[in-house]
Amino acid sequence: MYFSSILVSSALFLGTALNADQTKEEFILPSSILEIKGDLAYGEYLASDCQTCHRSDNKNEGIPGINGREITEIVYALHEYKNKYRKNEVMQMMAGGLGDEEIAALASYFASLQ
Amino acid sequence: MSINRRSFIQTAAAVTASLSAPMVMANGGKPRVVVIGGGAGGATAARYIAKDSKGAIDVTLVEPSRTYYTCFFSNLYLGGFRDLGSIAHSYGNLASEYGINVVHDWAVDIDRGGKTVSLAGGGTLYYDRLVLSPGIDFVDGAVEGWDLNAQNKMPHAYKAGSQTELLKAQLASMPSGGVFAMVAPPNPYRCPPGPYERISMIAHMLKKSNPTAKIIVADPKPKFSKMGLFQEGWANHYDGMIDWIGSEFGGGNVSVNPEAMTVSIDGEETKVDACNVIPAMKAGRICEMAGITDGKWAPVSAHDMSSKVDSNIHVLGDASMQGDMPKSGFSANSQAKVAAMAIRGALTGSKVFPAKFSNTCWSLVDTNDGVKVGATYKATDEKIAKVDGFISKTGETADVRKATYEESLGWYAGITADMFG
Repeated sequence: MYFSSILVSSALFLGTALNADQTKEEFILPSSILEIKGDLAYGEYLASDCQTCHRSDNKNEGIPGINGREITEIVYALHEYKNKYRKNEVMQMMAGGLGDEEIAALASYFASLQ
Repeated sequence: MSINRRSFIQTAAAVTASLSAPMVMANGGKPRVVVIGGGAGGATAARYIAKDSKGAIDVTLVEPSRTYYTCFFSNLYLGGFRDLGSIAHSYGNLASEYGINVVHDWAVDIDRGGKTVSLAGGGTLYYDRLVLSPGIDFVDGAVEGWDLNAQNKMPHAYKAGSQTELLKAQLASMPSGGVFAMVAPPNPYRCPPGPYERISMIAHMLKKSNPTAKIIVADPKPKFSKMGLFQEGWANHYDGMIDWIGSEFGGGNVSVNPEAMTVSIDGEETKVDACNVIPAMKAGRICEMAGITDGKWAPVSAHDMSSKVDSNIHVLGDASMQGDMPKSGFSANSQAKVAAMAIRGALTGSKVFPAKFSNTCWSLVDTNDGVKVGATYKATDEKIAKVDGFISKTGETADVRKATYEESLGWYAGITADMFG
């Protein structure tokens, strides 16, 4: 756990110049974050904010559908946006306002959708 | 007795069938929500309440228009980037897929004591909770010389549809080297970057069809939303074409003469060939009729968008006075979800979570040159308060601007699906 946290902090220093593919290797979340069990009902409410752009029918007309993705993938993506590892100002802002519990809830909810 | 009852039922059925609006009908004692206004706030609220309550709440949506033209992206129609059909939406899915009772009529009165809404067609709707999302109306006498009777000569085009078509036709028939003027509105108003995206789109259209035409903007404000980004874009794409006159240079001292087609700015009269007057705004009239306004807008609680005057009424979008959020379709959509959750909680006991809001406004400056501004918000006891935000930067690469424009297309497809199902 301590080791993981050190990786996160060191990755934070490397962050800005890296693209999404590279950050996948560098950005490591501690198991304490990955193991949070998401609250589905809370996730459903929070997801309504996402579904203004990420369509609930999962169609991609310029912004990708995110239904049915793996929980870990969504948790990583949101933490990467939150820490500005991934580019996109809208997503950095949206994820920036989410706590660890909220990210877990969203990931559980979107992973549960078709 | 049985004959009486049967004849009563038959009569009641006949009366119901003869009315354009549904009357009080046996609804199995389900709580009733009436939503007035089928735009980004109202359509979203109706859909989320119906969808998430899974039939436990009767939802009626009152909206005069059968076809809804989104105000957002209507500037892109003026610029030739979208056709009108692509911003037109119907309420068919809300009725057929979500069981919402869609009533095409005008709400003309609200009795808060009796919890009823009167319709222009003569019907009466009963509610347990009422959602008002009527958008904006214009303040009488806001621009000297202009009133709604003049809207054909000098369109406002700030409620999308025939007004937008009219403005586009007038721009297209301007003589070579002619003059277009816009009278911009004072704060606060619907869609802060809207007038300036419109100027960009009109400049884009005129640059192609009438490159010696001139654009004058009379503005009662000293600065405006995304000002640096728009001014950078105007210099890059439409150099010398646009003359923006802010309040410091008399832009707020304006009168118009729709008959003579003249605009007077700070005492100087100019003959114009087309003119877009966007007057000062206020909450849609029904809020005033309901007696829930304070000045021009309807104050609400940030926690659930309920009126500060009547907690059984929720006010969404442009009409509400809520704090830091701009009056935008995205804001109305975001507020609708908070209100829908609170209303379900109050009527069915479903779980209610703390309110969260967000907004992003994309604007198009020229082909593939998109910019954006956005923020997240939280509810405090005082108001909806800004938490964090961003804005596009001047000098961004063409790739970034193109990606921003493409993202706006995805957002349009997303929000309209979120509103209309």
